[in-house]
Amino acid sequence: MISENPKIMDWSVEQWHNFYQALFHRGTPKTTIAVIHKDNIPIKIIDSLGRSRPNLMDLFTKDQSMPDLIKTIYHRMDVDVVYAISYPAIRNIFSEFSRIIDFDDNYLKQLFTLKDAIINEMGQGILRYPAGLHWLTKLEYNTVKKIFRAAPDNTLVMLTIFGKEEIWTNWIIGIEGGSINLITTIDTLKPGFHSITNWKREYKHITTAVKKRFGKKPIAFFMDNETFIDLIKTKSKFRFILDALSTKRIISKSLPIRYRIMIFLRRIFGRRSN
Amino acid sequence: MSISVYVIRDINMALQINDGKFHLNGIPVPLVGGSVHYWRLDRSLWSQILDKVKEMGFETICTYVPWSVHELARGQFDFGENDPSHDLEAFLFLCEEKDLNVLLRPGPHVNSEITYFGFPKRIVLDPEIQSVTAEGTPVVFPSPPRMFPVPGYASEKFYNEVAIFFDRVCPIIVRHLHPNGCIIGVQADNEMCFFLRTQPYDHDYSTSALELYREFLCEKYTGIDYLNRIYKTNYESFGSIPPPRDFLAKQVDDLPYYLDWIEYKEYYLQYGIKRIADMLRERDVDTLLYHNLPGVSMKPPYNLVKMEEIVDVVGFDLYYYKEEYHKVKKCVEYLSGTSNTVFIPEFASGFIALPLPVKPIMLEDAQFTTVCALMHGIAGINFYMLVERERWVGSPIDRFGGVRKNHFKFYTMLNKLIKRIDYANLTKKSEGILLINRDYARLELASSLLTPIPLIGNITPEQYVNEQALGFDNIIQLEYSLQWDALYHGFGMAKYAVTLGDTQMPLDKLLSYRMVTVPTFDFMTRNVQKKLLDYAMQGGCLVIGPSVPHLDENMEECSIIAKYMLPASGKINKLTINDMTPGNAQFFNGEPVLEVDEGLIIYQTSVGRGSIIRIGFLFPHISEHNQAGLFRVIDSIASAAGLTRLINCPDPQIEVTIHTSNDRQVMFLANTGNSKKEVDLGLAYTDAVIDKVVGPRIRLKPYSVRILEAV
Repeated sequence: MISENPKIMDWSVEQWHNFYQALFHRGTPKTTIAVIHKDNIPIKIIDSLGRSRPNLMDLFTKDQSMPDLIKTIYHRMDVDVVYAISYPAIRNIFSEFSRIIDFDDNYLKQLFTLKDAIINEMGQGILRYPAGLHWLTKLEYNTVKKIFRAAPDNTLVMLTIFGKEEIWTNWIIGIEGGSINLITTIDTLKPGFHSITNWKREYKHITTAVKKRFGKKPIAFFMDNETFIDLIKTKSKFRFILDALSTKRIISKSLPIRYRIMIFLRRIFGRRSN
Repeated sequence: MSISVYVIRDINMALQINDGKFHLNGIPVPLVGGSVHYWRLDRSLWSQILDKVKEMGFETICTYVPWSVHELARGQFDFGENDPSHDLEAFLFLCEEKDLNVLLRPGPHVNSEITYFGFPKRIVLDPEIQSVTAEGTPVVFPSPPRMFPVPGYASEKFYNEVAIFFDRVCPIIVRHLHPNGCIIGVQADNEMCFFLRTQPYDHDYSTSALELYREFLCEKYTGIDYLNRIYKTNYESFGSIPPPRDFLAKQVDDLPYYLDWIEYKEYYLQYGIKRIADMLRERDVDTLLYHNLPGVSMKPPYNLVKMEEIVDVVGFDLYYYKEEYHKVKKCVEYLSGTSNTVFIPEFASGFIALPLPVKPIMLEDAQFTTVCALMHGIAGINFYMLVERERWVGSPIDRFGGVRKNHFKFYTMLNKLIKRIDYANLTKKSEGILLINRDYARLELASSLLTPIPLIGNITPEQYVNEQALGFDNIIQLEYSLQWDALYHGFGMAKYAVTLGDTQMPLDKLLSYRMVTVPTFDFMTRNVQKKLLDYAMQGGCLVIGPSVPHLDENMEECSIIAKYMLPASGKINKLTINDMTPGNAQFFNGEPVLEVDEGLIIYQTSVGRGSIIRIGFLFPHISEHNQAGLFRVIDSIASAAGLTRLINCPDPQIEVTIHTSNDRQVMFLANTGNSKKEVDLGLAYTDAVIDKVVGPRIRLKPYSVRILEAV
């Protein structure tokens, strides 16, 4: 999904900063405690502040199981998550990953190989209380592959998010042969060009400029940053996108015909079209 | 192959290091440059871009020469024959035409955000070249756009392949060496760091690496009988010694085997640098050779002192946010104390543009950290990058030759400022030095429970060390960094001019400081014990504790320092010093340095022409809640050691350094916190940036540095 030598250029560092903050810097970080154990005997306990917590060893009794210990710590210490990591588990993950990775695979496939190596240890060498896995763990490589394959070949996909009078962040992704071969931003058209007055009127200019630069219209999505942050927060992202497209909180251009029909139907019939 | 000490040759090097400063053609200069990657820029724009670089005031540029970019197939290269932007020689001619000096980095490792880090794909996929983990698998480096297996620097085939590239590129370098050309320095390889996978039992376990391990042991012990005595084993030969693949030590006697493994890991990196440096020298690249290590590389497997026996200078690459002032300070101060000169081969100017969840370094970060680097005393700095290109953004010049106004303005101002304050002739005042104790730093790494998680970011030893006492009074591997951190923050907070160093430093360097302080526990290398005692005997003030070493690196009796120290009179159950509650406290009968209600807890004893101060307790974690106690302890020690406070300001977020030159005195005053501050200096100063008289009350914005010259 990412080619061996994609062109990655002309990013506005400010736009990237905005995007990073929205994606990865939300809310208060979770407080965690991790118990490293060998043959179910704790050998080290650390917390997310980087402190060793040897006093918590006292909570362990010989007849206690690891799941019981992390449950006890969770209830006593008022933290968000407690992990139990068996001593060889981390090494097992690295070894398994190193054994099965294909160096000719694309980067996303390689990441999924790593994810699989981690998932193999979850519930075995790595226990978590309260139980629960991130939604990413359920995502399969084949699903992502299908999404990429759905994009017409030799396509540009553009996401533009607006602040009040500026382009808050803009990303132009080139896809060829099912792989990303270009990651750039609007800086590739005109370095430092970010100001805008009314995005709902001016967004078409961006599409036109991208077409002029790359010779083809991008499949484009436009929204303001409040909508984007709502999108990040929501759990049902697909439904949110469809709703926002039908109410024009998100504006799209050059979507393939089947998606346009879907959005049209949704606009007419609302949620019943799902 | 042994790593013999490199002797500086009598060659006409343009760039030389004298008294800790760079000299170009015999004149002291601040070596201030920045990176420009010729092959990533449209050749028709080279001239325009270099003019912009000069317009900012830079006189030196730096570039990699990436192997994978120039190699078409094994033994076939493109240096402009196919792609005009690959014409290295034309680029060097252009730099000469524009009177720009060049630092050249021909790798073979270049990173440079290139797929496979500049190694041809055929190299990284060759099993005879790959590094090997303890489990026998390749070592995966997870960088986008392709994860790849990293090469091993013990592989002879690797060097044979590098030789083919060097045979092609070195003649170009030689033709452009100063004084005939623009090249004033060459970097031997890049960030030799096990590709950031520095955990002790991760890699390299390839056959060639294990042969190197045994050669190292043979060099160290010379005979197997001696090794068997220390290891308490019965090996028939060095070849039968298995490498450790995990930390299984239970007691003191088990440690030499593991500590040797960590020392070997230092040796492995030195070996790699030496092989590359030798290959350059064998091809007549007779110029200043340097190397760069990633970030805070003060501890094993890095050993800067040993590496500088191989190349002329080793620096650290610094990419930090404004909130990471102390990382910048530690790096620069450690180089200041330890290195031949303080060189930062890569300093953030912009940020990597790859799809990674990493916060970009912004201009405001670079503005603050750059001046902080000046504040702590650099001799050379190379901004990475001055010109944007594929996979790099946020530099002062874009890849079309346009300027990013605010960035451009900052670097222009910086170059002017460096000249205006005659920075090259200033010397930072340092009265004391806090040493990294390599013995305990090796133990920290040896006892890691987190192999193979890379020790990057903000991971501290407290998070990964094994917590067995191993027969010592304290859990050394856990307590060592806490003691070191307390001393580091204490001297900074109390505003004493204390720099950083390493127990590997030679005695003559230590003797230039009024005070040397180092955390000490039960064991310490015999030669280091002797060196520290000699330092005190010759007039220095040595500050040690919480324990006095009575064993050497082989865990054999060695009381070189201990025989001069007083026995403890007893233990204190609960010690309180203001708001601080130290642990394992003892009290003494001696010359007092710090006495509390419970007894004398720090004493000083005369040895030869100097003295030793003994701290008799363990510092706790230092936080905002126990700074008064820390301040009191540090102030007592500094006073006994004869140090003078730079300014009176106990605020831990205010940092200060003083630089002098003949009759001039320049103060760097930093606010490292996120709120406004005001400091009363008691005198008026001239602000070097705005050229106005200010003070005595000095206002400081968050994350800002004022540069003040005594009126």
